[in-house]
Amino acid sequence: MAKAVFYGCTTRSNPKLKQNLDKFLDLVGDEFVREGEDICCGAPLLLAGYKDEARKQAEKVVERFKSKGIDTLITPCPHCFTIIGKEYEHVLGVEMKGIKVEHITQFLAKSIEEGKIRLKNKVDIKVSYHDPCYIGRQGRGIYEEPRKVLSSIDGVELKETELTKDATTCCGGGGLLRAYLPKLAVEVAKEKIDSQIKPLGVGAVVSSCPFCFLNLSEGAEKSDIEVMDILDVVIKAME
Amino acid sequence: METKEFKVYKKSIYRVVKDPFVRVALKRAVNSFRKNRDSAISEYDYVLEESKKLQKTKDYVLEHLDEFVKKTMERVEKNHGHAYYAKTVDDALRIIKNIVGSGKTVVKGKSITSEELDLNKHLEEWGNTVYETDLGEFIVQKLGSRPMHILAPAINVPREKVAELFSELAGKKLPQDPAELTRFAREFLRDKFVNADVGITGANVITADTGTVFLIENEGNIRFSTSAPPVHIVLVGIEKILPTLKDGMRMVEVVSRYAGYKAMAYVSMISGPSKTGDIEKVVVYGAHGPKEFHVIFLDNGRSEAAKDPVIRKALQCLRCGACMYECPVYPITTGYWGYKYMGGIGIPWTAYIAGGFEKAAPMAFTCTLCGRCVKYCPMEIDTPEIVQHIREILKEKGFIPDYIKNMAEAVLKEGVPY
Repeated sequence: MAKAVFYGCTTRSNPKLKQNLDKFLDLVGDEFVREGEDICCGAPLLLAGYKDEARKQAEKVVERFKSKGIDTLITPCPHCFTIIGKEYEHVLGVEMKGIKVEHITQFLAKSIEEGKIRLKNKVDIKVSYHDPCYIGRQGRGIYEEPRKVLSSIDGVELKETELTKDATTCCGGGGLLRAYLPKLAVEVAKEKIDSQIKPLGVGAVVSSCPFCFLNLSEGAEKSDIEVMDILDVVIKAME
Repeated sequence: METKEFKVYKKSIYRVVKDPFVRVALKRAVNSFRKNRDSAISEYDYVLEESKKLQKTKDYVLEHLDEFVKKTMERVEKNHGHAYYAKTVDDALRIIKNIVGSGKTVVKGKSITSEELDLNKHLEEWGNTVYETDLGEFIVQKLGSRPMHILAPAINVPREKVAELFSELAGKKLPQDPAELTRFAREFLRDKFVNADVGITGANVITADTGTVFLIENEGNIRFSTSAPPVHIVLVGIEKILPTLKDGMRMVEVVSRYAGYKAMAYVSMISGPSKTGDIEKVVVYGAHGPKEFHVIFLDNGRSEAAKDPVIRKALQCLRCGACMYECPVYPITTGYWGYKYMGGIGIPWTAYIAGGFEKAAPMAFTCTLCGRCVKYCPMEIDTPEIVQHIREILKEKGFIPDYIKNMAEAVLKEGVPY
């Protein structure tokens, strides 16, 4: 059976995020089927209220993987992760036919533990971690893996915000808010940066969601906080 | 094509997101709320268990709503009160008009339920004078605005603005000091209570076994409004019914702690008109308190909402306001993300009770579905699940923002949204 990386539309269509993911996959060197160029997980349909259409999309996605003999999916997108891994079955009633989904932070943590990824470089940064809602509270409670990844990198100092893990505050990028009221979405991110991240005295906030990355980046534009994707940090340590 | 509502709403949201006063006021409010709530819940930690019991009770009532309405109304009548069932807003207004008439002075306790009726506007149109007596509501009324939070209606109004407003009323310059401003409101309203013909309040709970109305407050304005005037009208949403007096007490504890209070200054329990039997044991109605006690049970879409198992959960809302303080979006938009009811929980309430689906549509696409509210809700209302359900209905009705619709259509045509 084959393993696939499912890019997700937002990662795929952002040059920086896509480049990072490609670079990371090259560094890991494993054989991955690369998926998601022409197929969406269906999350935008479900979130827009197109439930029947989302179900059909879900069936298509499962069929696609099945036909390619894929049994494990790794995705950097929490929204793809949760809709495929949880909502396909529980909300849409679509059978997964044995296909398992991992978020990239789970894959990273496991690979580091098994020694498959070598984090050889020191990366001197003081960061905070932003928990994306859709792997944590609304997903599968993935809180430890990303922290494990960051703390495995020499030089990375992690400072937690007060509202963290299942108490994390949304960056504003979820639920299609960015599609209807982008200025409000960015304002939510700005508020998070200003009131939660800045007081920590860190140089960067790291997340592991393309929506959080985009929205927090816009929210942090006028601040001196850098917004990083977790792969940014990992690649720096691997290269 | 997206409806006009989406554009009008977007404009009002974009106006408030840049308002620095609102941001500061809300930041302060959220911080102090969190401290108070955490400390109230940790000191009375059994309230966590109590809230679970209350959920079960409310579940049961909402599944048997008709039965409970009937039983509670009968009890009110047995207690020498007058009970009315109002299916619609118009029914409720007709009933109130019959009781109040015109040329009266009305003092009101804070009631979001009365906002469903636009009650003040109607009372004034009938030739009455209305005074909101909750300080926040008083400010909102004098501003000609509308409540921006379920518990703290004037949450977005900074003290400077209150001072300006009250100075105008006082005819002299008042300082920008909350204590001084509160004292002014006290003096201004004092004789209004005493001289009022009618007091109108909502209710936090009404119990089926005893017909007791619970009113929870801190200011004392409700005490005044429900005991000084000769007539007391209660407007209660039928979802507020609980089976027993004990359930009512449980609700008081749960809602207070989650709203951040270790003690509410006043909890009034009113089960009928005032009475005495002190002269030869002859019962006379109308002693020092009201002679007439009217309870209007407002449906206005609640029965219909209760039939849908997903939406029914939204009717369990106790109005503690915790979800709004804990929401990442509400502190930026305040009640502009709302119609009569606001924030995430306001979405089902707008769709089914006050406003309709067209009004609820832009609100439904303002929620990020992050689920933070669920964690802090005493009733564990899964607002994201409810909002998702409503979005499915909105799609059927065609009330979707253009950009989102285009994105969904792109997935259907091209396989990907972008």
